Amino acid sequence: MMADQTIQKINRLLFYAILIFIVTVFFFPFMWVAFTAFQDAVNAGAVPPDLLAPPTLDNFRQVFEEGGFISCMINSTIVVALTLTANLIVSLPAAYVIARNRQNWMMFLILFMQMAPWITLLLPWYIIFKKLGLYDTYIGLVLSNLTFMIPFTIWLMLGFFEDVPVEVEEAAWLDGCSHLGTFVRIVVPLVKGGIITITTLGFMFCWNIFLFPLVLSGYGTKTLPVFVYGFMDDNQLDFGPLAAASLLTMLPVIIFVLINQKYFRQGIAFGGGK
Amino acid sequence: MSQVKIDKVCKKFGDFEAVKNFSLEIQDGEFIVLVGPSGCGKTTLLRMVAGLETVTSGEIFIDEAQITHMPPKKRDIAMVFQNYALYPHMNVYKNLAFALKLRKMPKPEIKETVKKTADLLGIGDFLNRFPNQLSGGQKQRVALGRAIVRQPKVFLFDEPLSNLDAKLRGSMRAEILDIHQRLNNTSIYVTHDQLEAMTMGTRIIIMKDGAIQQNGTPQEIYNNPVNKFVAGFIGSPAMNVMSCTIKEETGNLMAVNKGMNLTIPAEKTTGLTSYIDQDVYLGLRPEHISDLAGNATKADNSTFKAFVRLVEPLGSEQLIHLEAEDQRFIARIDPRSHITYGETLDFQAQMASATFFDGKTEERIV
Repeated sequence: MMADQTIQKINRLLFYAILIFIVTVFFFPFMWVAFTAFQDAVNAGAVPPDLLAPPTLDNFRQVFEEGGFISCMINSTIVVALTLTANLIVSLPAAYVIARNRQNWMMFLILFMQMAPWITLLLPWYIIFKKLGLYDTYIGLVLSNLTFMIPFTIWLMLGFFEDVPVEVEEAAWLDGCSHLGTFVRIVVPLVKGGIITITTLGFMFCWNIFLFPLVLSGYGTKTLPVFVYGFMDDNQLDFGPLAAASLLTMLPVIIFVLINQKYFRQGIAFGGGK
Repeated sequence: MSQVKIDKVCKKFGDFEAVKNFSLEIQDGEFIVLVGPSGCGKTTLLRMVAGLETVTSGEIFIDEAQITHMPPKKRDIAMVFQNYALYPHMNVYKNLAFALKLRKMPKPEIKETVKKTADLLGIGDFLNRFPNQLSGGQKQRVALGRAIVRQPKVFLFDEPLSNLDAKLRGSMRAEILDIHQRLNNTSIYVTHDQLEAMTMGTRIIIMKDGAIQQNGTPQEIYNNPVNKFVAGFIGSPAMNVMSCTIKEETGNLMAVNKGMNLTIPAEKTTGLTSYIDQDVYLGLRPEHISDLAGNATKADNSTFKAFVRLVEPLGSEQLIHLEAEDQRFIARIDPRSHITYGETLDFQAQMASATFFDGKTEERIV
C-alpha cells in the first residue's frame, strides 16, 4: 500500500518535472525577449545574462522615439482586419458550397495551390503587383495574405459545415427563410467555433507575416514585423530595442488568443481534423 | 386547411426512377399515411411536396394553386423531420418563434402564439432550454410545436417517431392523432411502420418501387389487399401466404399443397374456376387459423396438421409459429389454449376469409 503511494507520488513528480521542462523550452525565447526588452544597452544580449540587473524602460522609449512604430501598428491592424473580414466573406460560402456538394477534387485543387513554396511566388507577385498599382497598398498586402488564408480556411471549415445537419437548413427554408437567410441565421451560428478558430489563427498569421510585406509594402504600408526587422542591419543588432519592439508586437496576439482560447481549443479539436 | 393534388409526378435520379407517375388527391383535413419499405420513394415524394426535391415531371397543387416549382418558403407547408431538425443554437422559445419572426408578426402576438402552442404540447416549462437539454420525446414535441405554431396549409411528417423507443412511440402516436383531431389539419405522414400506418391514417397509400400499390382506408387494405405485396406488408404479424394449386374434386374446388388439402367455400370459387390446375397463392391472416382445442374429431376439409415450432405468449393472445411440409406460418390463438413447442396438432383454416392471389402476377383473384 505504502509502496503504491510512493510510486504514485514519484510518477506525479516526474510528470510535473517533464511538464515544467517542456514549458520552459517553449517559453524560453519569449522569456528571453521579455527579459532583454527591460535591459540597458550593456546587459541586453549579454551572455550569460545578468539576472540581477535593474530593469529599464529605455528600449521602449527608443522604439517610440525611432518613429514609425505607431503608424506600422495602424498598418498591421488595417491589413489584418481587412484580411480577416474578406477571408470570412469569401471562404465561408465557398467552404459551405464545397461541403454541401462533396466536391473533393476541388478541395485537392485548392490545397495543391498551396504546395508551391512562398518564396517562389514573391518575384512574380512583385512584378504583377507593381504593374497593377498594388505595390505598397493595403489591398496588395490583403490579397497576398488571402492567397494563404482562403485555402486554409476552406480546408478547416469544411469539417464544421459537414457537421451541420442538412435537415436543420431544410427546416429553416420551410419556416420561410431564404437560402442566404438560412446561411446567415442558421448555418453560420452553428459553425461559430470554427470561425473563432480560423480568425484567431488568421490573426496570428497575418499579424506576424514578414516575407510578403517585406517585398510588397513600401513606406506607406510597412507592417510591424518589417518595422522590427529595421533594428537589425548588416553591422549590428540593437538587442534591447529589437526585444522591446518584438514584445510590443507580440502583445496583441497574446491578448487575442487568450480571449478566444476556449473556442480556439474546441475548433482545433473538432474542425479541420475531420 | 387545404387540399393537395399530386398529378402524375415522376422523380428520376440519373437513370433511377424513384417515383413513377404518382397521382393522389388529398382532401381537406385528411390524415394520409404513405407507407412502404425503405427505398420505395415515399420520402422522396414527401420532399417534392415540401419543395426540398425538384419534380422531374408532373404537377403538385395546393388548393388549386400550382406549387410544383415554388421554393419551400412560399409553399406554407410545415414538416416534422425524423431527427427533429431543431435549431441547436436557439432555445425552445426561439425555435417556435423563428417562423413567426420571419413573417414579421408583432412581438406580443408571437409570445402569445408560442405560449398557446407550448401549452397544447405540454412543453411550456422548457421554453428556455436548448435542444441538447431535452429528451427525445421533448425534442419531438418541440418539432411538432414548430410545425403547428404557424398554422400552415399542410403538415408533412417524415418518419417522426423512428428515433423514439417503443413506449414513447405509442404515446406520441396518440398525441399526434389527438392534435390532428383538434386542429383538423391536412397531413401527409410517411412511415415504414405498418402499425403506425394502420392506427393513424384516415387513408393509407401503400408504395413499392416508386408506385402506388393500394390506396384505401386501413380496414379496406387489411381486409382486401390488392396484391401479395400489400397482403404481406400490412398486418402484424403479416398475412400468411402459401403457394398451392387449385384442384377440382367431387364438384368442389380445393387449395392443395404438400401439407394441406383445403376446401374452398362456394362464395370464393367464382374467380377461381379459371385457375383449376394452376398455381396460386393462398393468403390467410393469423387470426383466420384456429386450433381445434384438442378435439381431433372436428377435423374436416378445412383442417390441416402442423408442427408447433414456437409459442409466443402475448397475454391477450398467443402467436403460434407452425410448419406444415416446409411451409411456415403464424396463427393467432386464444391464450387459454395449451399449445406447447414440438406438438403436431390439427388446425383449422377459415377459408371463407382466405384471399387468393395469381401465381404469376401476384394480383388478388378473390
